[in-house]
Amino acid sequence: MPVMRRSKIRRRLLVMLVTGIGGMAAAAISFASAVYDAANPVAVPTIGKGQTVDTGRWRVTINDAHMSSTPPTGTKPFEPKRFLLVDLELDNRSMASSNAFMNLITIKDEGAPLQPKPTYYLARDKWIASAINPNMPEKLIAVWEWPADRPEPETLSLSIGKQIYKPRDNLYGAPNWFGDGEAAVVALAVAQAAEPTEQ
Amino acid sequence: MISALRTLLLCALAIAMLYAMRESMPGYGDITAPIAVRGAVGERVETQDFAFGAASVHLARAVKVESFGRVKDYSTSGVWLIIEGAAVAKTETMTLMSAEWQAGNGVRYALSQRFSTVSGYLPTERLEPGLPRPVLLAFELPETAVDKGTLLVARSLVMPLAEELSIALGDRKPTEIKPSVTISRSAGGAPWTLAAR
Amino acid sequence: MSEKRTFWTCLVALIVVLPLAFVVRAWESLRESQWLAIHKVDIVAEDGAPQAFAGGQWKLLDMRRLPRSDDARIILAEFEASPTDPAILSQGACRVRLVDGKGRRFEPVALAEPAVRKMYPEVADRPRCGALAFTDAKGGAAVRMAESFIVPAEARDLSLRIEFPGASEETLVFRWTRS
Repeated sequence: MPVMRRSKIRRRLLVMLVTGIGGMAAAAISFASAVYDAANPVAVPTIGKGQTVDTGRWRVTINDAHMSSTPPTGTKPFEPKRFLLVDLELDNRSMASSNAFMNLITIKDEGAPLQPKPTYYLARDKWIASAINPNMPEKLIAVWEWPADRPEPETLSLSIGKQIYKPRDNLYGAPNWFGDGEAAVVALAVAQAAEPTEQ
Repeated sequence: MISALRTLLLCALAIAMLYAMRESMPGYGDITAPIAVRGAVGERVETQDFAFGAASVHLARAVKVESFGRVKDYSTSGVWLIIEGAAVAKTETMTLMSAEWQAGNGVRYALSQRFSTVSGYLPTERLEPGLPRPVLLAFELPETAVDKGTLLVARSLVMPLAEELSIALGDRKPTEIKPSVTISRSAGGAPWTLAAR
Repeated sequence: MSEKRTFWTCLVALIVVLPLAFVVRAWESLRESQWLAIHKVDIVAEDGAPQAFAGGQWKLLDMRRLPRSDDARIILAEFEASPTDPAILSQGACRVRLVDGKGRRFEPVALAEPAVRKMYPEVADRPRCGALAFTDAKGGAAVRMAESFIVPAEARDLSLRIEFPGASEETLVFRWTRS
């Protein structure tokens, strides 16, 4: 039956055409949107002190920054040193205790990054902080040892990183948190050391 | 007409089935999750490699640690949950590195890192096979996380398919929150003594 | 061959090929698994007999049982190795464990126990097994080493297992039946 067969072939051709065009269109849209996103990055908001940044996993509030010659423990170091102290508040919104915040808050600066990473102290009893528990907002003091060869800063820009939760990652399909760029930049003035720096 | 409807129905069914399969497929985290061994406070709970028993549970607003005449104060914005227990290795020398408190709503609280200098603190205590050791655990929790919570103890947090103890508090919940608990070194027997003040 | 017959042949072949593919993929893992692993025979030496192992001549000198507490004892194992091939000896990393009759494995303690220091100060100062112990060795002279372990008082039939990954694939086992 040649008539019947021809109609069948025509129908098949139509199906192939529709799926082909649909697939191509989907690929083109996805590619174009990726290119568009790369070309037009969303501007990272710059905020002042005392404002809360919701990064998804964490709620971060940078409260204040000042220079000091003593770390929060109050014991003056043997050699005179300068410290940049940043008061902040953290709220862990995830399901488990975490110390990931230690890598998320960095100084945004033209100069070389400050090498030793900051040490975090609990504001309430001045012990070194470790993981922050969920549902227990905590006031902390981040302490950077300020290099001797650098002038004391008057203003400070802190970059607050963001993390995204993937229930299945691309490698193993394991659930985990992954870095997801910047959530906000906090710009604030740095108060100078209140007490005279000489011994 | 009817055949078109049937094709559409079959398509919808296929999509639904694929979706159900995708949703019900256990993730890597579930496949490699630790194997839970259930127990309760006040009993010895066994795994292949080690045994652990929680003996007593205390709640306190503050913890003082006395060592060599100096007293260190540890405050909290919630409560301190302190567990005294005993652990023993069965097959080889080991350290129980992982302890977590799982609240009733599934939120996990890590063992406090602030007592790592106290002798007998679980992640620093080396366990020799056949020699039970008294161990101490401390968690910093919001008050609401204590009820219906379970203690999770394992050799390591990252060992897939290892056994993990899941110890329910049950009715052994401490009746009152003490204002302060003091942990001090003891002369003999247990490495510490615990006193509520 | 008819179309029907090809179909059934393929289906039957699938039943054979599918498990075969699984086994081929998992072959390495299966071979490494506990049950199928070909257990390497350990080199067993009885009561202080010298034994060649990992580029040296090894000998268990003594295994002392010292008191620690009511239920615990210290086992002080003293052994020596005369390097026959120092190049091989300094390559590997020494791992020493004590195994008792029930198969429990004890790791050595890092710091010498006070009891050992008091009773056998010269043994306590011996180096522990490791590359460091062999770097000071002078041409062929025996290197004396000591390791201490904490075991329950009832632990019996002790043997010292020395592994030397990097230098030897085998395990040296010193059985101690005396005392």
